[in-house]
Order: sequence, then structure tokens, then C-alpha cells
Amino acid sequence: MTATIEPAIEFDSVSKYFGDSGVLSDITLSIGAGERAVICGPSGAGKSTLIRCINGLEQHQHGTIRVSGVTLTRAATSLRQIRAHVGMVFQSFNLFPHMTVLENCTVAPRTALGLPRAEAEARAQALLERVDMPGLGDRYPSQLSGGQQQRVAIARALCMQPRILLLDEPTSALDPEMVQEVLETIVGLTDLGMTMVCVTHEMSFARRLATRLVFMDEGRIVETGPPAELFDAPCSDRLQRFLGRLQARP
Amino acid sequence: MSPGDAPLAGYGDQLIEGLLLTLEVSLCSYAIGSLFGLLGAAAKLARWRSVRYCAGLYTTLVRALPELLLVLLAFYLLAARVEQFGVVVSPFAVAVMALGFIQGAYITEVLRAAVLAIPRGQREAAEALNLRPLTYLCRVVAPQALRHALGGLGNIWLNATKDASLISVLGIFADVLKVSSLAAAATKRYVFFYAVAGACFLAITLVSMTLVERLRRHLGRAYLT
Repeated sequence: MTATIEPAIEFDSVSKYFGDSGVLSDITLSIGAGERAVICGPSGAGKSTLIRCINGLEQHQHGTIRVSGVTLTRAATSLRQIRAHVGMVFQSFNLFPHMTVLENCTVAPRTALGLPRAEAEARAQALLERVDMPGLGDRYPSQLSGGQQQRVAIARALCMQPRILLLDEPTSALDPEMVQEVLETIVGLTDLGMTMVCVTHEMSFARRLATRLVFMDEGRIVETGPPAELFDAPCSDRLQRFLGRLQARP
Repeated sequence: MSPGDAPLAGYGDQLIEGLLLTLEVSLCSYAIGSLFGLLGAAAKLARWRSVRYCAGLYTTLVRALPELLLVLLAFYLLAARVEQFGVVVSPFAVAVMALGFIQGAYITEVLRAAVLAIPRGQREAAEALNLRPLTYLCRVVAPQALRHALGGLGNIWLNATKDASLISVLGIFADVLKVSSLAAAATKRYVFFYAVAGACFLAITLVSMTLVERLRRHLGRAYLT
């Protein structure tokens, strides 16, 4: 399904530099509404920077980024408009440690969306159940395992009912035995129909989640296409070598 | 039994009043100090270099000079100048303002460090969740910073109770230390009355420490596994 109705995220010749070195070089990419794009590539390829540009956590210097038709600028109104329907899940969870699980999930809906407490809590409970964390609303993050914390972070992002969900290496900070439960949770979200952009090193997960794979190296997009095509018949040398190295891992 | 025969030689009421004055000065100066500290920390973390520079000047100067010197300056230079313009300031107000100004410099440093100790990811999460800046400040930064700052703020409070006795040198305040030294001089029972003064400060400290410990447990409740 490459024929998309409207692009959810558009990068048009986007570049970003730290000093002299280019982190993103001339990125042009369009992700359609409902698509699930997995970004992969070696470390330092600019994957996290790319995903963090989508909701303005990082600023780009050249080119245009449009999210759901809104052009991303540094202006507060543009950022607020875009962030209102873009959720994000971080590598290190970034839960608010002094708040309970339920408070973590309700603080933004109550203050940023103005939802009444009861409604925000009902929404949070439902989504905590969805990420398989029922009845743990009054725990604090420090009382949860890493996998549980990340699932709370997913629920927290979903509580804002985003149309787009960004996942920045959601399992990289987890102990190996907890990786699977989080990946399953993410795969379980596909029926919500959200546009998803995910940076990950888990290739079998990428194959299951992605409708599109984006392979990056040295700040550029090297190859993009359906995961089956890219995995089984990579065009570029660099992707072939990258996949070869992954398969060589024990 | 004449008043001179009682254990406190008739100074009991004065000592209690002195203790209350000491507490009053401590609390008022600490409240003012917290205000200066909040402003100072905000300035030190500000985006503008000139604002940061002014805050740096404040904390460096105040922490460099002896507290007694600053209190004397406030009384004999500042208050006297202000009165030339026909504004009458009560000595109490001058004292708590001066002490608060001093504590503010220390509180500035404690709060600044406490805010900087909050991981960067907290801000990113707040931004991604579209929290308004004020919500971020009140619901995310303040509670976490307060927990980091509590030890330092407690120390500054204990210093505040002791610094409150600095005003006894001015001769117009009958704080607990001043009353003790008057009583000691009048009765020649130096050891006894200075011990009474010491006991008063020790009592303040013990009560304060209990309260701080309770607050510490409350703020740390989320971190106990």
C-alpha cells in the first residue's frame, strides 16, 4: 500500500548541522497518514535526529518540514499545533518520577487539553489496560521494571490521542528480557490506525511493524521501501553490509 | 522569694520574648531570602547573559562579605540614606531585609543546582506532551527541584536561625542571645545563661530537623522502592 491519501509528515530538502558536520543532509521524505515507517541504520546515521525534528525537539537549518499540513517553525503556535497530535516515546522513558503512573498519564490531558479529571483518568485507565498495565495506576515509576515504565510511557503518549506516534529506540535502554514485551505492545497498537515512525535496531520487529523501511547512513536516506523488498533484495551496498552485520550477530 | 532567687532570676519572660523575636526574625528573613533565591536562581538560569551576570555579582558579593558587615552596612548606610528622604523604616524591617538578602544568595545557588540536576529528558517529555511552560515549571520542575534542594535549604534555614542573633549587636533588639548576655552580666551567672541561650538554639534546630526529615520523606515517597 504505497498509494497514500495525504502525507502526514513531509521532509523537503531538510538539512541540519552541528557546527561544520552535517547531521542530516538534504532529507526528502514523505510519510503518508496511517503508514508505519521504521528508520534503521548504523549509529550516528541521524535516525534519532530525524525523528526528533518531527516534533521540534531538534531544529533543522534548511528545508521544510510539514506535519499534517502544518509547517514546522520555531514559533510557539506552530510547535503547539504540531505537538497537539504528535506523541513521542523516548529511549529512556522520561516518565515524571515524582508522579504516579496515573498522574503521568493524566497531567497533559488535564492541563493541555483541559479534560476533566474523571474523563482523563478513565482514558488513562483504558490505555493502561491496552498496554497491559491494569491496576498499577497508583505506583510510582521507580517501583516498576524498565519494560513496565516504557509501557506506561506509551500509554502516556496515547492519552493525548495523537494521530502520529514517534518512537525513538523504545527498547534500547531495556534489559533483554523486557524488550519483547514492549515490542509486542507496540505491534499491538497498529489497529489504532496511527501514523507511526519508529527508530529501532530490532530487525524482526521492524519487519512486523513497518509498512515502510527507511535506511539511513551518514545523515542521508540511502534506501526506502516496503520491508520485505529491502530485507530480501537490498539495492545498495551499504544496506547489504548493514543487514549482513546484523545477521552475523550471535 | 525575690525574683533574683528564681532559677532564671526573673528573666524568664524576657527570654521567651527573645526566643520569639529570634524565631520571628528567622522566619521573616528566610521568607524574604526564598524570594531573593527564586529570583536569583531564575536570573542565573536565564537566557540573557546580562541577567546572569547581575545574579552572579549578587551571589559572589554577598557570599564573599561577612554577614555582620552586611547587616551593619544595611543599618548605618542604607537605612540612614533612605531616612534622609523622609521614609521611616522600622529596624525590624531593615534587619529581616538585610538577613533575607544574604540568605537569598545562598538559596540562589542551592536552587540553581537543584534545577540543573533535573535530567534533560524531563523537559523533552513535557514539550512532547505539549505541557504549557507554566505547567512544566509548577508540576515537573518545582517538585523535583525541591527534593534536590531540601538538604541545602534546611542548612540555610539553620544558619538563618543563628544569623538572627547577629542583630543583637545593634543594641536595639532583645533577641534570645541579647537577653541572655544581659542576664548573665546582671547575675554574674555567665555559664548558666549562655547555656540557656545555647539550649534555645538547640531546641530550634532539633524541631527544624524533625520537620525537614518529614518533608524529605514526603518528597522522596516516589523514590522508595
